[in-house]
Amino acid sequence: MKQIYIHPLPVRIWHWINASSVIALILTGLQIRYLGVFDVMSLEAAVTVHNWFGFLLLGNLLVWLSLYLFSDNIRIYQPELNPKKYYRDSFRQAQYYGWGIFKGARNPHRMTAFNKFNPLQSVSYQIIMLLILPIQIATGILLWDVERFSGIVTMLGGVRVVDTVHVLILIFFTFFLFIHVYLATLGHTAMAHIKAMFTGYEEVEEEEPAHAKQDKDKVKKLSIPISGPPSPLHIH
Amino acid sequence: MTISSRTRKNPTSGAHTHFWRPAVATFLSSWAFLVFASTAMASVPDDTLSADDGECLKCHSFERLSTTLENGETLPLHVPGEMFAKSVHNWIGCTNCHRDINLNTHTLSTNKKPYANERERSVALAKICHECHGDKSAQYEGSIHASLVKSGNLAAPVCTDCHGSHNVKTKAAYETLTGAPCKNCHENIFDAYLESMHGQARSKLGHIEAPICSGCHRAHDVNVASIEGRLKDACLGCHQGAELAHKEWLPNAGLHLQAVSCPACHAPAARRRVDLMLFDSVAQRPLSENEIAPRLGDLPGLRKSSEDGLDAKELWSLVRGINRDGMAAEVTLRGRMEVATGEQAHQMASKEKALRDCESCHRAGAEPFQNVTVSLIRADGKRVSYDAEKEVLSSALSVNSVGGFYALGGTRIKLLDILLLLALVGGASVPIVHLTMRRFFRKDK
Repeated sequence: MKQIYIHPLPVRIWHWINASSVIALILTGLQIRYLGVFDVMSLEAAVTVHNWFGFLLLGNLLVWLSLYLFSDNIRIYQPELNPKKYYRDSFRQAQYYGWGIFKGARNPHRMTAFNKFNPLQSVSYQIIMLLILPIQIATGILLWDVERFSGIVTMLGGVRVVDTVHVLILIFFTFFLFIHVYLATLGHTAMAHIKAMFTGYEEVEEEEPAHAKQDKDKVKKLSIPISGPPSPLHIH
Repeated sequence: MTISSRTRKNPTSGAHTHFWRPAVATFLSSWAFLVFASTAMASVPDDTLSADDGECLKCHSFERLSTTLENGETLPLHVPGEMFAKSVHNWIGCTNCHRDINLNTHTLSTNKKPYANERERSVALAKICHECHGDKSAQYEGSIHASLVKSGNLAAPVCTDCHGSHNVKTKAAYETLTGAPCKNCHENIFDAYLESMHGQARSKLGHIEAPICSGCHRAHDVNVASIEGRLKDACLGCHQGAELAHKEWLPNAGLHLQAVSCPACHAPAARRRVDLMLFDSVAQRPLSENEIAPRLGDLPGLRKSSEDGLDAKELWSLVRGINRDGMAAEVTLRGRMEVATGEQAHQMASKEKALRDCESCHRAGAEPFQNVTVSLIRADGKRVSYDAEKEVLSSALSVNSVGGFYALGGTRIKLLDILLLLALVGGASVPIVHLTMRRFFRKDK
């Protein structure tokens, strides 16, 4: 096994801000919606906390957009624009999770610093970051001050329509969180990926030197500020 | 009562009735009338009547004087002279209002009344008020009272029903707890008002600036205060700092003030309900029965359905049906939290007793969402409400039909609750099943 530095510090900070925001938003969102079913905090406190974390998530989304969407870094999510290969790899990945993993098959995805997401992760995260999360934040902003945005709210069909979309996405994120955390335990040990999100280092199987060198070159081109080890790629 | 020096006779003391005697000219042109009026005002003391009025009162002071109308109704013809002398109209004189009287032929036997009944006479005579009080009369024409009169409601008031006919007083006299004419018809509501903070402020603390009926409902263009935010305007007219005061502690205060009527919180003893008003979202006004009846065609059906309470599907069909039939307006249901009855709307308490806790509304099963009505404005301006099932607020169909009304927690859609439960169960099941299978296959090896 070798260790590669795969999650630079800014990415790790971004991830944990995102994670804590989403969890806080889900919990306070459920408190707001189910007041009386459980009463951990008052409605007013839940709304206030929900709003603060909502804006934190908005800020974090803007950070992500500036780091990834408006730079070459988006290639981390789309290493190569080859639909045929992408669909084939997606199928293999799904086949692995649905069957191969039980039979002890090897994960078809080879994690590298540049190509760290498997095809299913890649498409999921892009849909979430570019579609679902922006819609959730936008509907959240509308609900934050319905009167201020009454024109838009009315145009969209009313406050109940906006709220329904917001809650549907809450339901999606609640489900996603379970799956996301579970998939994070499917490394070579249950804590491998989770630990990597704190340290930045992932343990991967040995690769042939040529491949590693190619990745190293690509990582050097990334504009993400990388702190920690002097080189983004370390082979131990 | 005194009679001016022009006559020197006490009209009530006359033993003879001279029906043939002509009075002063009833044919005064309007300019001449004004000259007369101004002269009279300047020269006649407040509680004096002219000699000509005294002549009329020679007969009309008899308490038993009356006539029979076409429908058999007895029309009293008695005029308490003393009362008329004290009224603000004492200087006008009898004949300037009673122009239908032909003094040359004015006898008990010949002067047949051209009215079928007393009500018809009152409505006709009220038009005379318009000549001097045109502005007030125009306001009255826009009132719910005028609409009711036009629709044939015999109980709806015209000028004389509130102001009296021969005892018209100054404006201030009607703005007192004892002088307010509204209580004659709206007794229960007036009693509720008397017990309210506003009524108590007047009766016990002597605050004459505290509102009386006309303060919120207006004096002549009387209307239901709860329609189109009028009540909010009426309240904020006096409580000017209220909007800012609410913003200090109430999240989304503007939205609350728009969607929750003031008594819903400030009359804490009242039973609350949600009213869904059919609303023209283009013209931004409530929809009237007249506008939708020809297109909907099934208002009787609506009434029949509402006997058991409109269910979510019926409500959805109603909104869809109105919009589908080529209606220029886009019809929506505008939800508002109100109190159940007009009587309760007047039970305003002091602000210390007002509801402040969010939990009163923002939780499942909250009291305000147990009663739902659907309303529209009738041709006479009155609001008519149809009962609806409380589930119309929590049905998935409400996304379409009641898109504009949602109270956090209190009116949540049940289908979304089920989906969330599935997400939780599914989200927990997938890892458990997957993990179990992994272990199972590992053992299998």
